[in-house]
Amino acid sequence: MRRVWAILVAGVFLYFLIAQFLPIIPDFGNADMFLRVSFDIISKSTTSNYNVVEFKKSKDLEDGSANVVTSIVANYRAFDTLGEVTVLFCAAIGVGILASVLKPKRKIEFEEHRVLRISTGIIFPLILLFGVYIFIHGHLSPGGGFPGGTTIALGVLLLMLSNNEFKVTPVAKHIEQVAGAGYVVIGLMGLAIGGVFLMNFLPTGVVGNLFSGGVVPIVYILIGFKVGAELSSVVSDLREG
Amino acid sequence: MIALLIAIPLAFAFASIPHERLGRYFLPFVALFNLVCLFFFMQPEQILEIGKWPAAYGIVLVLDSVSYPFLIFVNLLILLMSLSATLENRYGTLMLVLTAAVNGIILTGDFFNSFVFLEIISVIAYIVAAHKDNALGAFKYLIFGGIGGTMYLIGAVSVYIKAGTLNMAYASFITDPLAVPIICIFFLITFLVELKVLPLGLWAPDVYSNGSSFTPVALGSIVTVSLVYLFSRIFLNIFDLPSPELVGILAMVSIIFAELGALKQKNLGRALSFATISGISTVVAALSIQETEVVSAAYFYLFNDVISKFILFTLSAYLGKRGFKSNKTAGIAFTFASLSVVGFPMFAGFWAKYYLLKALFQVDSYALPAVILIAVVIEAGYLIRWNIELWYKDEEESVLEHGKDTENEEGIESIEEIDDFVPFGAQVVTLILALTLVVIGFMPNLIHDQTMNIANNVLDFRPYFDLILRGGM
Repeated sequence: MRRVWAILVAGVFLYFLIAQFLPIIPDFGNADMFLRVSFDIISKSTTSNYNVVEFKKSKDLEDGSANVVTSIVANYRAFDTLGEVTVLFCAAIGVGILASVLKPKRKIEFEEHRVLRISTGIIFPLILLFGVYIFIHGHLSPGGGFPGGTTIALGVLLLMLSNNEFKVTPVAKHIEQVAGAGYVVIGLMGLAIGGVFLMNFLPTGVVGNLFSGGVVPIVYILIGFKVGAELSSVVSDLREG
Repeated sequence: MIALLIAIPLAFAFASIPHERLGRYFLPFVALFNLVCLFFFMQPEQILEIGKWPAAYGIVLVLDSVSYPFLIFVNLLILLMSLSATLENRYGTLMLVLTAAVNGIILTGDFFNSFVFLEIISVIAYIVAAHKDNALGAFKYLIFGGIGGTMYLIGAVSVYIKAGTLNMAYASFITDPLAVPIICIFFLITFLVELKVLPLGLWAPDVYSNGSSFTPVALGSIVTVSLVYLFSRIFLNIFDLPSPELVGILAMVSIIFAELGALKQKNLGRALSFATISGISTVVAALSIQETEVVSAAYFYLFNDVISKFILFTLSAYLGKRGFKSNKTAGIAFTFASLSVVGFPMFAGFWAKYYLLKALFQVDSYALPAVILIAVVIEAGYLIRWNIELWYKDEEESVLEHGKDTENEEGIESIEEIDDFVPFGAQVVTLILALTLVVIGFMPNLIHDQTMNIANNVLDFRPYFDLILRGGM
């Protein structure tokens, strides 16, 4: 009986998707960019008239990131990103609570291997450097705080796999605290300086330079630290409970 | 300025990470701060364009005469919950984030932003649902909620495809009227899941009956109120509700089945969960009629239902298997709340049902009143049965039973603690809420004037659009 219901519901939903929903969305490659707000966002002209943006030449635009995804994520819609950081934060707490409540006092041990341990020692600083590079250059090239932080956390995971003695210390929690509260504080500084929460209150500089984009790189560095510390704690919680 | 309602709880939540208990101590102060801000420094009819980006491009927060009363009510509930619930581990931090998220979902005027807050609420809800080792219930909720959340995302994406902006006011203006009903189906599925209309609300009994003192309050009262707000905003204010008759019928069927389900339960928590499903389904059925008087009565009904269920769930969590003989304060609050749910005269519940029935008769709707009256009879049956059972429970026997159930050492402790098994904070909070129900029972206009004001504003799209347009484009 249950299976009949499931097939019935799935059938109705598929009919709705194919017969009702698909006809209202435009064909692939046929979307009209000029009717969307993203057109003005890409050309950085939401508050001014349209101007051509030139790499390494355009100066003091409303948004200074060369990477347009970053300009949306960390500037135009920075409030959503604050929300997403919070989602990850809650998920990390959830893993911590569930791992300690559902299966307390357990530890997963791995077989230690000399080659793995020594090569990890060599490669770990490089992974760390790469992660930091990704989030510092988030406003210039593909990347940003989330992938950068994840890369760092993967380095920590490698340390854990190679060495059973390795532990994530409470310092991770403090990094998480400072970076998370720092994001909100930057938003509040916008409120204090420009009168609006999360305002980009620093000069945006020349598009394409390392020091450009106003608060965007600072926000991405904070997110990078936060995500790195958070995912490291998640990995450690999953291992030790 | 209105961004502080979201920023301050979030900042304190992040700051409380290193110490497990810090979040719990921050929570009442943060809720109090929000209330003080709302009462003294923030008055309705203002918008905030976050990051100074024009409303159509960025994210806009809107404080109008619809969101203002909802914000006060939700923050008041959070303050009361922070005093009545036992928040161990890091649950205090989670409740701080929940405060930010429900304030955000009420304030936001942007489809994707409301999805982000819905996502935060869902993640917290899954964690909170797993409290007291209730992994199975939480997993059921995860599946239902996951599907619901995905539907909301598809809806938001479709709005962007059709309107080219995510701002609610502009989207309502620009979106192709032929596409609106189809897009709204996606939103509707999310709301039917989150507002627990059967059969999509089947997760609720397992989650709410986990015996925690805050799971049903946080999810059933606080989150539900914020989602009823979002439901009204999207379907009464911005878009039209797709096939309102069908939603009405679904909600009515849900009321009857939930009441029958509650009648059959042997466990108080599960019975109350089904009662909650029936209560919210009544609100959804009434909102689907979209007439000022009915919508106003629906909000009054929500007010009564949320406060009564707050009392009932909190006390049932602390009672465990004991009765009211040794704790008459708790018993009185419980009985008052039950009588208010049933709609006994002298309590807020009476007026909730009276206004709803009167308004429904005025618009010549007779099916819903019939369903509500049948539901009242069933509700009275099981709630009076539970009251009698708990008042006349033989105390010593139940304590021994309780002692046996847990470990021996705890059994001895529970006999010593028999006099104050409901914590002082919870006793005070439930008593205050019970007295509120009585006061509203004598002076229903205190709430009715407010709900009429909300209903008048929520059914009129013009002021909302003007408010956002004034912010500039």
